[in-house]
Amino acid sequence: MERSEIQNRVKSVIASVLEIDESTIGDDTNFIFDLGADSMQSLELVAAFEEEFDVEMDEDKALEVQTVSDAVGFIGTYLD
Amino acid sequence: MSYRQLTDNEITILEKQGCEAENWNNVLVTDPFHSGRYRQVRFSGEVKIDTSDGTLFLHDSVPVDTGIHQCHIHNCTIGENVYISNVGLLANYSIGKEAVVRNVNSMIVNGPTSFGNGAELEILNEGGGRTLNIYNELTAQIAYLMVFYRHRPQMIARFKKMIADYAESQTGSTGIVGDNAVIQDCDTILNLHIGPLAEVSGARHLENGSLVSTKDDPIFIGSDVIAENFIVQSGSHLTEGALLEGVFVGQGVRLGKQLSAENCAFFANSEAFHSEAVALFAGPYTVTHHRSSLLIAEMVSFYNTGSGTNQSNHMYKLGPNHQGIYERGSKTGSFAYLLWPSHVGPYSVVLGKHHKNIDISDLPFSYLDTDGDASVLTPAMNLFTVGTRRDTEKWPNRDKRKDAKKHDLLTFKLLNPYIVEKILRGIDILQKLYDEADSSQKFVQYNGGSIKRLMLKMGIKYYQMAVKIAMGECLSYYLKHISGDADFADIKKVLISKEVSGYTDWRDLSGMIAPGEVIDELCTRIEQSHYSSINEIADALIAIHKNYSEYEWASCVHLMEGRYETKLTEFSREQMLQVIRDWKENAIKLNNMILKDAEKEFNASAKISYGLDVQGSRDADFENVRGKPEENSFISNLQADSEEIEKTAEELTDLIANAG
Repeated sequence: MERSEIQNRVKSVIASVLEIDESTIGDDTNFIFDLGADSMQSLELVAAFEEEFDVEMDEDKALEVQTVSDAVGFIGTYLD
Repeated sequence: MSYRQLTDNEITILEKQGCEAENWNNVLVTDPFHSGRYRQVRFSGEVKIDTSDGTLFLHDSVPVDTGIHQCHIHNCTIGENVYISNVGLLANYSIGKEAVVRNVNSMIVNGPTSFGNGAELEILNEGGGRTLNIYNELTAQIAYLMVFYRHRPQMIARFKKMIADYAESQTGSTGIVGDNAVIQDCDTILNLHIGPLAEVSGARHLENGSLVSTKDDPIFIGSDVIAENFIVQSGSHLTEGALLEGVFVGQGVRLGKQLSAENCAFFANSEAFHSEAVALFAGPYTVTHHRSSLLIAEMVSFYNTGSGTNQSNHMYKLGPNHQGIYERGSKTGSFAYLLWPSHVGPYSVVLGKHHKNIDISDLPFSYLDTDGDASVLTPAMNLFTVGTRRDTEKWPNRDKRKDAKKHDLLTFKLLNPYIVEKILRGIDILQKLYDEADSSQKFVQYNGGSIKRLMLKMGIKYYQMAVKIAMGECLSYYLKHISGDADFADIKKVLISKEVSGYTDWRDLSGMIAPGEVIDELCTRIEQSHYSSINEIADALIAIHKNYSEYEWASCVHLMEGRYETKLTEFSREQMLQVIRDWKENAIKLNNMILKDAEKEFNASAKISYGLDVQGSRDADFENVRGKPEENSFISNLQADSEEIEKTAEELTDLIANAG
């Protein structure tokens, strides 16, 4: 899958889970500091990424990911 | 004890010292008798007095000669070297040696009494139907069976009969003050049994009760306590205006600071201050510390009450007959409210106000919060919070009971078979909800709560993690005791020899975890009159509790065999290694998640309100008050635990892999 496609889908998932406008999400947007995601929402994001990309992630490592671009890279490792 | 009547000379001396008697012939003494130690005493009825020639210390520091002064003594037996002073009326008591009774308005037994034994508590359900009869040796487990096993009326009838027999054995017209007990500065004491070394200082009114104090673990009753129809077991303290009516107090309990409690039972190591409790079954380690909290018509254990917590048991229909359960390890946030009937599963946290009837009994470690009017449920989230781990570690270390005989039987282990069974049911529930939900759904509904659909999968993941940890913990416990030169067949032989049968349907009998099969068998035996006294049933429960490890192993084998679809006898080396690998990986992962939660206690948010006046002093102020994460004992213990798991897993892997 192309990185740009992963990126678009990641942004779409974030917008849906955090109930925000997708256009406000940039490549380096931080889920916690910029979007105010709490620990519960962070878990929800992990679950949503898993469902969107049909992968099973190590949520311990997934929770360390905090920006859109890092998420794209992290998810990419499961799709390779 | 050889008593004699007073001589004429002794009577003359006593009368000169302001003493009088209804009939001096009814005042008997032992030798040597020191007349000088009795002043301004009125004797009536039959009074027996042992020798008084010693010294006692008031408040451990003020020496006083033993003797009796300024009292009316009626029908009493006074032990050796007792100090009784300024007691309006002391009637129908046997006072143990070296006891102190002073500044008491009246202390009377006014007829046959069972001293609180057999008193009926309308517990759990204010509407009645779950009456608990209390007695001196009541245990949390017997109370649990009496209150919750109403589907076995024959057994309940047997309990009632045996407790009535016990109460009868305690009934008499004479009260006892045990050796070395101290009763001072009190108003009214009526029909109270006082065990050895008990101290009652400043109580206002104590009526129809027993203080089952022991030399190893004395009882303390402090100022302004008012209690009627009650029993207090060893090592417990009632202090500072506790107001109790129909209350059982187990061992090592602390009640005080104007707590008001009615029809309640508090079991081992509970602490209740300020709050109000009504029809509360407070299992071991129930804690409520805040003035505005109400605990009504519920059972809890290992429970922590947030300030302002309350519940409703009355819908203004057929009376206050609703009830609720918070299972072990649960806690509430400030102003958490639940509408009864509701049932919260183990180790769950309730936040906010919930106006629906909630049943999340099979979803342990849940968070129940609010979002507007909705009750939002997040299963499994409390599994990896620092609070859960800290609670689990602190309970065994805070067992205040010093008495050799500990009435309440306690299983502290977090991932015990009762919890694992709940987790397994939880996995099935969450999986079914996930499978049946449409992918466009944001929430699914479950028993009064809304669960975010995406969190169903996370819940399953974390529950699965807990099951792997539980299985590995259990297997590693037994493997650790096998010598390094055993071959694989020997290893299996050792494990199989411990198997008793595949116990399931586990129960939590207010602190004691046991297989249902064994408990049901006990109930049947009670119904069939196999036990002639209530204490024999207590002994049978102790025997079951002692076998916990064997039952747990049987349960673990049952679980492993189910998961691997292989009988333990057929387990391959690789399957056994997999259990160990899963345990190591998941136990360390869980520890890391808890560590991350613990580290939040040291992050920027945690430092808000520190460094108040001086710019730039926040970090230094915080560190000097709270310390650094690397110096925190909880964090370092958790890290050490992970290292230990790693090491043990390596050793066990070697043991299995290298076994011939």
